[in-house]
Amino acid sequence: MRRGLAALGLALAAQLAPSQASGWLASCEARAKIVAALVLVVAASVLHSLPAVAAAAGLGLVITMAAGLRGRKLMPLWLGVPLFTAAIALPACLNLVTPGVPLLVLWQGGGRELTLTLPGVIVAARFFLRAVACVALTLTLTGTTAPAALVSGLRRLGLPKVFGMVLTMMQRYLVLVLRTAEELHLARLSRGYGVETVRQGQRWAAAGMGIVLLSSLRLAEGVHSAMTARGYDGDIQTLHAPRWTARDAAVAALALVLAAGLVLWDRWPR
Amino acid sequence: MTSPETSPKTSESVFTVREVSFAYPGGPPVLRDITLDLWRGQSVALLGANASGKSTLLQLLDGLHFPTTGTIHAFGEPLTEAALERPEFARSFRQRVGMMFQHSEVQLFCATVEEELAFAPLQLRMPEDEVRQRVEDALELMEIRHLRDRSPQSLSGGEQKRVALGGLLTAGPQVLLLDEPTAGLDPRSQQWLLELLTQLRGAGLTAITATHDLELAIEVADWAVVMSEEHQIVAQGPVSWLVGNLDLLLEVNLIHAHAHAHGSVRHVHPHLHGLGHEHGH
Repeated sequence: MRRGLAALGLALAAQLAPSQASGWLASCEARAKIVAALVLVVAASVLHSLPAVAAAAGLGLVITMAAGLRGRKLMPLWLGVPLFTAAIALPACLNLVTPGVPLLVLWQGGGRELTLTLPGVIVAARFFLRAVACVALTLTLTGTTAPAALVSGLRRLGLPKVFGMVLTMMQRYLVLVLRTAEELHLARLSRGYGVETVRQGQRWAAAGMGIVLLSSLRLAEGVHSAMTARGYDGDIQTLHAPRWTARDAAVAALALVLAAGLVLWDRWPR
Repeated sequence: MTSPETSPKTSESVFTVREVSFAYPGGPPVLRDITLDLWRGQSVALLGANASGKSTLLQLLDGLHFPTTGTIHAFGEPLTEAALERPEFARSFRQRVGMMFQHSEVQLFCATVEEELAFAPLQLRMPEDEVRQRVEDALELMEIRHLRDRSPQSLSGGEQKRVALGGLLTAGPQVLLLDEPTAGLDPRSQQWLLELLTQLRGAGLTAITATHDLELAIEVADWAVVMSEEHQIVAQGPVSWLVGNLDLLLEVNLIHAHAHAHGSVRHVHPHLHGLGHEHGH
């Protein structure tokens, strides 16, 4: 458990660390990237034909690579997407969920059969490719934009102040909450609970959640007070003051054109 | 209330606290009938045992909580929730008053030391060039230039205190509210912090330090306000007068009496940690 908490802490710290990407996209203004990611994600979500969805996924991957993202930052793409989409999409391939032309017979007996169907595979592939497109674009946005700049950009695009505050606070104290959980576990180990059954561990984890929640509430209050004391009024200001340039406008416009192109191609009568 | 003389008034009042009581929602009173005047350039030690209400009083002075009854004026203006909702007053107040929290972990919430130092001046809408200059100055003053890109969470306790204090100074405050500033620091870091606070005091900053450490009070303050375990102010006066008032210090739990033996002589006397004591034999 301790290793798990520590790994989670490291992963979070890596995600919350300032953007390490040095590509051209990292220097773009947050609003341009948010608009670009949003229109492309919406486009990928409404596409229907397999070639169009595949093109959106390919575009997402190309943008991610071009942004210079590498290593741990891409873990949700290579690990998260296959795992989570497989759990949802694989059953859709079966004739029980999506009837149609069978592609492969998996089981036969008693006049019944379990097959992979062509419409099912198309549904699953579409779902998988949409997920790839959306996750790649979102990762590119978060991987090339510092968390504070991202929240600031969202606020400038009209996100209500209260949501901006919640996002900022969450980013500020998430790592501290994890540390509390880790310390709680260490304290328990130090009191001789080293050897335990899974059930005992689960029971402890359930009880520990309440304590971590209370600690996190206290922490949230403390962090908020400390931020307020230094002039935070709900709108986070960052060191690199965002300036909208012609290049940012071009990025947003290009994304709009690409999104519109994908949708038109998808809907064009064949 | 014991008071050997009146507070040394200077030209400008910083805080005027009148009959302030405070309780957290649903909780017992944390402060009772606090009346206090703090003047520009003063170095005040707010002394009291654990849970006497020192930290809460600092938070009230910083406009983070508001009195249940009574009033606080800061720089001549009422310090109320409504006043702090006015951006011009809020920015002016937050720039002039900086608070260092007892636990650095709640104060250090940025991804890097540089961002931490830039946080306050940025929120106060200072121009970016000026912010950068202030960050450079703070890195120099706190001797933490080598930590610029490090995460504050990964620093030692002493380094975190330096960053926390640097993060206050970049706003250019006139008043520092310090909550147990030396708690948890090793001797070298404590010494460094004491020297810096003395230097800031020499530069004319008003400093209000909440502590139960009499040695620290002597080092950083010339005026002391003593709070009882009943959450009231029971005395105020020069620190030098206060540390000689052993009955008062015993009563408010700032020192304790202990028994020990010198050869065949066994006796009980007040024990002032770090301040020494005399034996009458």
